[in-house]
Amino acid sequence: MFVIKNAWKSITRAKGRNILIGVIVFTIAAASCVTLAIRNAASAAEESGMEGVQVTATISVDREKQMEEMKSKASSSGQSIRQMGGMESVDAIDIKDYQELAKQPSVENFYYTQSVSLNAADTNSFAAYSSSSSSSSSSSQNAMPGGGFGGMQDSGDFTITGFSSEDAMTAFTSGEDYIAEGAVWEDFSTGFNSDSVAEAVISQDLASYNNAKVGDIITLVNPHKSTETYKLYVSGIYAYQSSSSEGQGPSLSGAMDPANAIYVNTNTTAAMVEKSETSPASYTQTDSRSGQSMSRTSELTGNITPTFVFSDKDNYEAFVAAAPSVDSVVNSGSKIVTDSYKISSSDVDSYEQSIVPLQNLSKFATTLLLIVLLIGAIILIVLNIFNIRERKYEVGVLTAMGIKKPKVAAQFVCELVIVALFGIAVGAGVGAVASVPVANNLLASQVASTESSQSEQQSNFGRPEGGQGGPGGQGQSQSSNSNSSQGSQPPSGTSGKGMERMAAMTGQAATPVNYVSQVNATVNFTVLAELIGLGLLLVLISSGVAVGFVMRYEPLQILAER
Amino acid sequence: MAILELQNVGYSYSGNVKNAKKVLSGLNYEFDKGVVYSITGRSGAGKTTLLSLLSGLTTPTEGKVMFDEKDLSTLDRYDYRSQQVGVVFQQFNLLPHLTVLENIILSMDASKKKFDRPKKEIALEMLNEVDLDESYANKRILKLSGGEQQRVAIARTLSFDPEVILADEPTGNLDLTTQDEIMSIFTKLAHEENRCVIIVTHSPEVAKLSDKVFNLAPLKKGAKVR
Repeated sequence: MFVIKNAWKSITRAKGRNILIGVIVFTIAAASCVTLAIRNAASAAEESGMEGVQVTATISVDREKQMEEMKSKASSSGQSIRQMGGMESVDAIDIKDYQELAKQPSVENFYYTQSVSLNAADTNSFAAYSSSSSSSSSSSQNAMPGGGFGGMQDSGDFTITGFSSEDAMTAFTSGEDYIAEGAVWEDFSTGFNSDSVAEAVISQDLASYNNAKVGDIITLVNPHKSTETYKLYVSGIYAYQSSSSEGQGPSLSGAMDPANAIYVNTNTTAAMVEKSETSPASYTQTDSRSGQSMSRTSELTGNITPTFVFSDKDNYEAFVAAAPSVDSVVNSGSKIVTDSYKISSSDVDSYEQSIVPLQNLSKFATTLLLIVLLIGAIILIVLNIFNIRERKYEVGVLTAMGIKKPKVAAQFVCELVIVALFGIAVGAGVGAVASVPVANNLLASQVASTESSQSEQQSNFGRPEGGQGGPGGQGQSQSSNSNSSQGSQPPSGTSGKGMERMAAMTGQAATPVNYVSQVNATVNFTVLAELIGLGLLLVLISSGVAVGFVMRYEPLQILAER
Repeated sequence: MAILELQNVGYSYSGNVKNAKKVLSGLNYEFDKGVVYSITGRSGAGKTTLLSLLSGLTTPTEGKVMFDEKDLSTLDRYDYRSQQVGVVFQQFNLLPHLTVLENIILSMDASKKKFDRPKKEIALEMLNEVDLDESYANKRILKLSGGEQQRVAIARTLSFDPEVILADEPTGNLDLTTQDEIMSIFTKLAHEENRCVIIVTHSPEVAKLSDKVFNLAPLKKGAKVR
């Protein structure tokens, strides 16, 4: 009581000095309050952002890792990757193995798509839609506008995409695609019927281009074996929201054009692949870049894109952890998800991308907090040293009067604590008012800088804006005896622009990132508690100096000096 | 029975051994209650040092200072200073940021003693005793003259009712009239209130007004510690 009473008297009698300390503490407190609020809001947003949100994931070839390995091999052998014969192909995972993986308890749902590339059997009756004037024909072309690593896809006019279930038809479930005429088959379990005809839905653009109607039978052919034909019954014609791809990107042709996507079920595509394997024809292909000739067969490649659905991010993470130890049911003795593959989730990836500015802001806030605290501590320590030296006489008088040194020191600490609490209270008030607008302003500039660096990066790669290079953005590689499945799940809920549709079809993630641009940086009890804790810590550290001085002073010495 | 007693007291200022300077040596003296003592001596004779030893601000390097038959160095000297002995410093040593009343009450608080009346009442009474009226109570120390400050310092010393009152050159800054007034206060404290009053002074007038004089002979100049 004695200590507090004296401290209070001392504060009220030395207003100037205490106002100065109060203002400094206030400044530190206000800045700390804002930064603490930002940090808390950021971590809260990070924690709760994916709470209860369904997550889908896919398994694809880890191109980056493959590339790194190739690079190191190439550098050790002194050859270029191309000289080494391009990227090594990776054995595709069999659908049975995917189904085995889907048995993991963390997986809520599993579906997949399988795509093959076919040509029109008779371009007079049914040809591929082309938005450009030149009609497309069977051609060897590079699969990706971005180019791939030795990637050379032998693609046909049409991309036949098989869906394992309705869930797999994400474009329909999301409302991006819808049936304009006819209906999507109800039975996913049958492929070709006894007349070797399978049900399919085609795009409105393709239908009007060929004057095709529901009920027509279209005939497609293996691009490299003209005798191998497939008959598809047009059961429906689908349209897509904002269907025009014109002016949205480069002119697309052949299988690259979203209009040339024909939807079937996976039994149909599986039957196509199976049929093409019975007696494949051989042909020679010349690599347009290296000029090397390669012998290939006409077997169709059925690229499988699996999708695992998880009820939340935790289950996804559990799956990522558990999947590499699952044994293959096809190749006994080996694992399904080898080092060449990676499990990725565009939901998680895009979420993680979306919080990058927030994380940056949080880091920035932390740095700022440390700087503020450090400078604050230095200023307070220096002020305290001056203060105590100025009040040396007072210490001498008080101790000479018989007041014990710890009590005198406690009085000095108490004075600082009282002033600091005032400063913190006002600072917290101002910080509370300022934290939300300041946090959102800072976040907006972070988002802007992240976006501009991303778009700069994209333009450096020659990609149009809005496209976000995601995983699996490299070209597909194919060879005659093996194939690779890759690419991530077509993103759902996109605006359906041409580029995105194309990217979705070809398995390239091109979802524009919706950055978290608002953060609820309110000052709550946690922030207040942290603020008071930090403030008191700072005060105690700086007053420790004062205590040190008081304990060192001898009353006789001080009084004798006068 | 002596309230304070010097038993073969010696004091050297420490520092490094070579520079250690002996100022007091082999002092024996007894101070009784009800008596006004003057400690006199030339400058450098160790008057203020002796006062520091008696007030418990420091301990002798040789011998003992006994308070109430107990060795002062074994007692809690902070408690001793705050409760048993009141010191009137040459420079008054009042806290300038506090008022007259607050300075007095601070000493009473520091003594941790229980008082039968409100502290403010006692403080005002003490002011009255040193001939300062109530209008001084809320004045800041710096607004007072030297004599007034001296009186406040005495009032502060008296407030917690110490048995021993030590004063260092209490009249040094004062004119003769004030000096006499102050001395009469001290005499009254010793004779009427049975306190032991010890005044360090170089003034022969003050020495004359006191009951006993303890003259400190200076040690041989530059005496070294043996």
